Amino acid sequence: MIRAVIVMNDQGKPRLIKFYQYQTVEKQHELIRSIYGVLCSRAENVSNFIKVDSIFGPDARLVYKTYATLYFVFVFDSSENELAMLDLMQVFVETLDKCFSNVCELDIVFNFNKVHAILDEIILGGQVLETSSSEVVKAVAELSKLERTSSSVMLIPSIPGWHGR
Amino acid sequence: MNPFFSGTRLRDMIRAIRACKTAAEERGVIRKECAAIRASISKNDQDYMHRNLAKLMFIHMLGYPTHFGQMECLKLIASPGFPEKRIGYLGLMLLLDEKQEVLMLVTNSIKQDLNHTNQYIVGLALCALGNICSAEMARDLSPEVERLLQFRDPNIRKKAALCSIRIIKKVPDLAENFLKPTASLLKEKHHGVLITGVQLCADLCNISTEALDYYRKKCTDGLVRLLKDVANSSYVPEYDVSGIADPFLQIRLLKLLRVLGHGDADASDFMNDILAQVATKIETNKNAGNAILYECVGTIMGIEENSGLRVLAINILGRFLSNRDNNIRYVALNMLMRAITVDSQAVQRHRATILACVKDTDASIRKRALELVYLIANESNAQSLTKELIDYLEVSDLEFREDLSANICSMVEKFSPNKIWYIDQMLKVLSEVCC
Repeated sequence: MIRAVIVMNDQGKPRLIKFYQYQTVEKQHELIRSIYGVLCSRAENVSNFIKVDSIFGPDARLVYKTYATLYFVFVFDSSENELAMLDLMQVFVETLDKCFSNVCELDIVFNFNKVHAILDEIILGGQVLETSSSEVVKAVAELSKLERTSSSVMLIPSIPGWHGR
Repeated sequence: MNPFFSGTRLRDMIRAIRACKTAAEERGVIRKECAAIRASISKNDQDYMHRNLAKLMFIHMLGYPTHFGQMECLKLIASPGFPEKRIGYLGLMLLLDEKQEVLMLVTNSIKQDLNHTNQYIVGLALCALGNICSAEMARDLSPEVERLLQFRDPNIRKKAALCSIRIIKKVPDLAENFLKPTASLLKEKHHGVLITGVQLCADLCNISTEALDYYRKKCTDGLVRLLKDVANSSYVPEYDVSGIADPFLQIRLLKLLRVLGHGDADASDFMNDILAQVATKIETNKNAGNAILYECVGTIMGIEENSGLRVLAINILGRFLSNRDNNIRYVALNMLMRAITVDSQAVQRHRATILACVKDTDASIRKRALELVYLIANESNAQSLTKELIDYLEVSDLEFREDLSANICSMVEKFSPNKIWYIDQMLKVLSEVCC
């Protein structure tokens, strides 16, 4: 199971926080600070995996990758394949790239709602939901369309295209 | 307070926060915003509910308390409009603490939305349920989710499958209701449904032995065939990762086969062929291919013994150790540590490569390799291993020396054939470390 997905910048400021196991806000930020501490002290040209038992409890693994000014971090347990997590992170980043055409930190800051919507189409309850970025883009686009076209008072059930694919 | 404050847009608030030079200044801006949002909430200001909640989610991300927004989520979820529901559910997943009262209040709204005629609203409700469902909610809403496993749109079926995982983990007694619907998910063609269905099946097997027996009997055959089809399938651009056909599904299938094969010789026998095929045929110049191979090795080690396959698997790990990609070397060391309990002889054959990893440029790999060296040490090889490590101690990084010398010392202590050798080695270590 995936336990958390975190995006933060190289100053340690969180840009996206999603925990799939309940943690209090204080605890979340304590964990993020510890992760940032570990990431900062990593040398270059080392593996993308870190054992994080001391931060997240037994069995926890972490995979991270840096994209420009951002750290992308997935925390998961031994039931997930580490190398596949790396590919899944790539799916997430590719999808962001498609949705924001060349995503940058500011896109994520100002559209954190949309980023959550994208993530929710890839991972649900800590399990992998979808791995094709074009499928995710399609699903998110349909949500946005529905959001734009529905008046905020009532839904009109005859919106073109909602009958599914 | 500025009476127009509740009029700041989300964007403006984010800009104002970003413009803060100090933490104190940021706290000030947020205190003002929170006061305005509270005021707006207490006035029950319908027009701003959506915006207020979006702001609260941002404030929550920065680590400030936002519990006063929870009831707003419930109101938004209960409202008829799609945009309101969407932000309401998002807020619910992020802001909720584990207070039962709030969950109890939201259960009914979720139930209604699971039965909504708009499938996107059903999707929102499933997503929220899959993330926050409690045991009580699982009992109340399980019938709805079971029904949605057969929904006409595959995008709902796949969400329902993952939602079911949360439900059976919260209330294992409910597992039996999911046995049959899950078996039919495994026969589908839609990728998303398959990948989530296979995961649900694996979780059912972990929770209930009844489920394990059921799927072992009914589905092993079909799953092996499915893996064969995917592994041999020609290029499907949608799910292809760097030229490998749907690695995520292949990995999920290999994991499930491991669960089914473990402790059952017949089922294990049945999957030997396909495992051998995956282990020998997969392209390994990309991460995706290695991810599958790594999973395949795990499955070979996890199912009942077939010595030919096991040797093949451990040789693959040996090959991984000399791969240029640090990640591959790292996972190979992890897997070899587990493999020792299965077949320590086969691991011994890769001693030289493991020793080479102790000298790796990547500190985390060095550390893992050193742990592994300690695990493969025995009476017959301890002397040569000690010599290698002491030679390396001379040239190793300063920060690595502590681990390295500690390891050498415990090895010497454990396996010393006589006192003279023991004293000799200790002296060598001391002279290396002290100068």
